[in-house]
Amino acid sequence: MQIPIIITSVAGILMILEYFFPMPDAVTGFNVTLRSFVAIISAAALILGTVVLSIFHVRKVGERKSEWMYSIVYVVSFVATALLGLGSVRNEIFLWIYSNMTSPIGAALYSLTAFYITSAAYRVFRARNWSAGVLLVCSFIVLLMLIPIGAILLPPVVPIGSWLRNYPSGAGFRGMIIGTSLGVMGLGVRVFAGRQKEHLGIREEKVGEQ
Amino acid sequence: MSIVDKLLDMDQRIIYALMFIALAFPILFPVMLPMDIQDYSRQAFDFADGIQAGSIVIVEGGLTAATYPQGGPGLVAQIVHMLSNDVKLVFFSLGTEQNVWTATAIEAALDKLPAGVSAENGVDWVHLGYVPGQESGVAALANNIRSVLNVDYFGTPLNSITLMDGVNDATAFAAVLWWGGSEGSIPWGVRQFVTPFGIPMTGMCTTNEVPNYTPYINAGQLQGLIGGVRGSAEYEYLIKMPGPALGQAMATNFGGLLWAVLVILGNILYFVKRTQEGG
Amino acid sequence: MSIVIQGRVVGLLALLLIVGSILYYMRQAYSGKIPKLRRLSAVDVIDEILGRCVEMGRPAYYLMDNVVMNNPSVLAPTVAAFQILSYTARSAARLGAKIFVPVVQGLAYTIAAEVVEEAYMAEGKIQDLNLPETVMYLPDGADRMYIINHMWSEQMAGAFFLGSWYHKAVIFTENAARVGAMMLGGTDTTHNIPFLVAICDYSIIGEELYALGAYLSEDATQASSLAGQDVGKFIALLLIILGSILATVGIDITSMLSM
Repeated sequence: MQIPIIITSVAGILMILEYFFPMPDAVTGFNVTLRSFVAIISAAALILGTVVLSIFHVRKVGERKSEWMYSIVYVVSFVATALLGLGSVRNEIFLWIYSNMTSPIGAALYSLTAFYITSAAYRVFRARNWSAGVLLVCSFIVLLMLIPIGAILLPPVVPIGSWLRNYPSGAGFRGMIIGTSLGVMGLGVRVFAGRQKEHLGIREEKVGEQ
Repeated sequence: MSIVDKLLDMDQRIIYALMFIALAFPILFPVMLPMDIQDYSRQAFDFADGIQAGSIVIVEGGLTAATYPQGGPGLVAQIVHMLSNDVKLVFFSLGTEQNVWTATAIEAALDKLPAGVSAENGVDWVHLGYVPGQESGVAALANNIRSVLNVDYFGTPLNSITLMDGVNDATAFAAVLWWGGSEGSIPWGVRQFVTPFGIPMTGMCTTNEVPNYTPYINAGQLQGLIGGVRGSAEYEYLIKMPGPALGQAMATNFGGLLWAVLVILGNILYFVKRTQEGG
Repeated sequence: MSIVIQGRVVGLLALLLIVGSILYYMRQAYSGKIPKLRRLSAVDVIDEILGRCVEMGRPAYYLMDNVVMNNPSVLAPTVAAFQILSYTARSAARLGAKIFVPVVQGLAYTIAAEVVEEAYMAEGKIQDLNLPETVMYLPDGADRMYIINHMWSEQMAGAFFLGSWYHKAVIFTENAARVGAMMLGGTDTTHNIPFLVAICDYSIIGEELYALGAYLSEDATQASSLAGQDVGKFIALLLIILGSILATVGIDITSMLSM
């Protein structure tokens, strides 16, 4: 188990060193090769997800679990689309399936957000206390700033909304970005030190369990 | 159950239906209302407009089926704008779906180009295709393009593409145009192109992500930002090429106003109920 | 030729300071001096939500959304979400609450299943656990409709939205609110924090997610890492205050920071 951790640490540290210090060509070349490995492995990871999903549905059909008929729809769709795509990604039928089935479904699912957010706002967005009231007023100002006609209906929303966006909101987001970035740095240190192994599919050991 | 309670407990399908009507009506029956140009959009447009003719610019195409309606028209408008200004474009994408939609946008832009504008594949633009690895892939691309890709989206070897002659890392590019959609990938471009190489960058994201990138704009790391469908509509308006984004932006007027009316109504009913209950 | 590449000196110094402090606190932790973490109110909220579920005889949902762990910005909140899941599952086992944990990615599914199983075993309630029913693998995209229907059919009374949340946050929280569930939400994805704060009954913001995970897991590595990160925050705070004062009096330090 030490070997994957050593590989991770060495590769990561070499990348960091290359960023800050001028390195010999041998190191730079090695890093270029490593980065190309990332590209290849990431592409392979897509296949892993597809295989896991396919096994799940084939098993569901085989064992006749609840709603197994829908799994047949998946298996047939997957096999048909995969065969067409493997033949050529510019196959007319393959592109038709993508343009007329996959894309509209994806767009439709994303567009649900607009409806849910409106329903949620109607039911939940209440000025229950002063802080919720301030949030409500600010959200109205920013909403009016963002809709095209808002600036025409109520011109002051533009400078006020811009101020809200650039200063209080920007400051808050800046703080969150700093915090999250530090969190990722902490994760990096834990991964390089071999103390975080979730990315290898292993739950980390706590101190005292080594 | 009083009328107040009934309204507060309104079936959500009524709300969905009202929102559907508010959004669909202006798209089906186009309504043009006056529109102000936002400062971030103006900044992004001016930045792109100021890129010197003959420069090579790298474009990240991160739109998917879900975000193409928002950003697609704007991306098409910017491609037309850049090619019309004789700026060479090198496209790439960070996802397989994004890859296809970038090609779609390029195709749509080529159809809209004014007569006489040169737009030859391999000379004026090239689509490198899918770069896997997310930010690591971007880092690899910025440092050595040929370590990541040997052929473009259409299978043509990079070494035989005129535009890619001498272009192998970020230093070859005059600017970065990052159409990230909802990928959340703009910071990757800032970290891998702007900070190490000092290449100026502008971007596009969905409307809800605009506040995320305000710190980058304030710090000068992003030269403006095209935010959602309104940003795309503004870009279409600024290059005087009205398109689908303008119609959708008009729809957001009605959707946004309906949202505001419902929230106000909900709060009025809430306070009425609270008063009735003696709270 | 300079030792450090032009324009990256300040970045290197900051990196060394922060990494150094994290390593220092980690070393302290391994010699027994574990940093104390402030107890977050969210800890009591978890038990409150599960207690409500037991009283009403209705289940709770534990949702993590994006769990693609080869992305560092997703790995950190996902690890925290697993740590909180461990505590939540143990509490559920102890109180007798039913929980559902849908997961949309293969590796994360195996880890979640392991976490929940271990939690029930630790409480001696393994016989009460139906693992395939509790931890469900759902394909991304199809999970939306399944979870919404399931929320309604099971009439859930509690929900936890913790991890790396994207646009699905609105969809699930809105439905959970209409079902009448008590909700705890927390994410570090900045554009979805406002949704979770506005809709959930209780929320934890950004780094509080990591802190909650570290506190509940009682893991010294996590706690020491957080302490080291706090040093980074103090450095950032100092630079912001100093920079603001210098900028106000007209002293430009941009060139110094661009060394």
